[in-house]
Amino acid sequence: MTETFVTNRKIDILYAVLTPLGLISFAILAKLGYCGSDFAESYVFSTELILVMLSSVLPLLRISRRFIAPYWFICTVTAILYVHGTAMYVGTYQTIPHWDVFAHISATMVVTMIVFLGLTVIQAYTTCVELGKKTFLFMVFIIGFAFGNVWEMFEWFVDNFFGYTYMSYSVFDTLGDVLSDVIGSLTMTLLAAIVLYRSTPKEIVAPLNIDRIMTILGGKWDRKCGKKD
Amino acid sequence: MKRSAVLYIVSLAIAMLAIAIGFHNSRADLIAPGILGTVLMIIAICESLRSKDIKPWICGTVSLTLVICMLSVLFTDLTEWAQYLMATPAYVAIAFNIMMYLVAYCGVRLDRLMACVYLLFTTMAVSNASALVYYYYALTNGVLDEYTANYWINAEFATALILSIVSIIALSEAMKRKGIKLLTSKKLLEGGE
Repeated sequence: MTETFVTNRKIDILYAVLTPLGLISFAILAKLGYCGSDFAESYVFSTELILVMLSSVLPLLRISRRFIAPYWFICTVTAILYVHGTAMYVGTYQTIPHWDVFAHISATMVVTMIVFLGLTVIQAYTTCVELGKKTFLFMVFIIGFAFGNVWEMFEWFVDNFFGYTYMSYSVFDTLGDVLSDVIGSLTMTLLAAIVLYRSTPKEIVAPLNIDRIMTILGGKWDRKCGKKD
Repeated sequence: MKRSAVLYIVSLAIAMLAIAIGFHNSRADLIAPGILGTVLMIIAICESLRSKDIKPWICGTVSLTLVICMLSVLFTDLTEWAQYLMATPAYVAIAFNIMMYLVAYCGVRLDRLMACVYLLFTTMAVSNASALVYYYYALTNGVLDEYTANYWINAEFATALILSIVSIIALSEAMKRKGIKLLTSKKLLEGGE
């Protein structure tokens, strides 16, 4: 094992430990009854636990070498989880005006970024899926925006299932969220357009370190399609 | 050509009828789509005269959407659920048309899986956009109260999701039975792909 490999592995382990640490602290403190928000303690605790699990996925995949996500990608996803996790614990949703707008815009931007990367991977490694640049960007916007729909349904379902009115308390909130989704998705699509017009799909996905696995999967996908019209 | 001419005339008539009913009932939410539909039909007729036939499914979707709008204005005693059950096929049809338009004119090649994925998300995005416009209008004009609207907006999202899943299963099955593995634009085929 080279020295660089050992150092990288140490950094990966450090990431895996540090990333969910804050959220774990919030969960424990909420369980102990120290919670700054108006939400029920059990609600904060369970939400923080879900966020801990989500924030651990990318660092653990990196350690296992199944998906070596770049650090900027891990940091972006972690940041957005902290935007929600911290607000849940400290109560920023209630104390800072328009925090939910900020949270929705930033979350939609991250989701749209993931959609953009996903579609770029497909575009780069398969020949049976081909989109022009404009169509590609249109689909990135549409899918990013549509995820807002899924989230709103999730909010409504959770509130109805557990008997809360924390997330889906007013139709104006839902409409505001949908509008924030439009803004977030559109902003990220514009940024994606800049990236897409400057680099090829292969260049964009190169930092994701998935070349080997995606070449195999892309080949399989192409063979399955058979390219017959 | 004859069949599409009949379709254009019928669609134009429906669009103009929507404007008339909209003015009669003072409903801007019917006048606006009616005007939009009329303009689209006039463009369709002009284009078809120049042998650039606009596909009949575009006219079909416009007409279907307008008929749903008209029904919801004329029969105000229809429950909201009935309206959504009528409106969601229009969302799916609009999404399907967007996808087919991209395949027909924009140099796109899609396999079965990606066609289904795009149809699903486009339907949801159309339902999202429609909800955004309709509920802002309904709430600011007192058509719906806040509590009911909060319930129905989520019901609309759920109905759109369920129906789009049914539609993608149907699309996938139809492609399988016809032996279609890829949807490819003429542009790409001519380009030697």
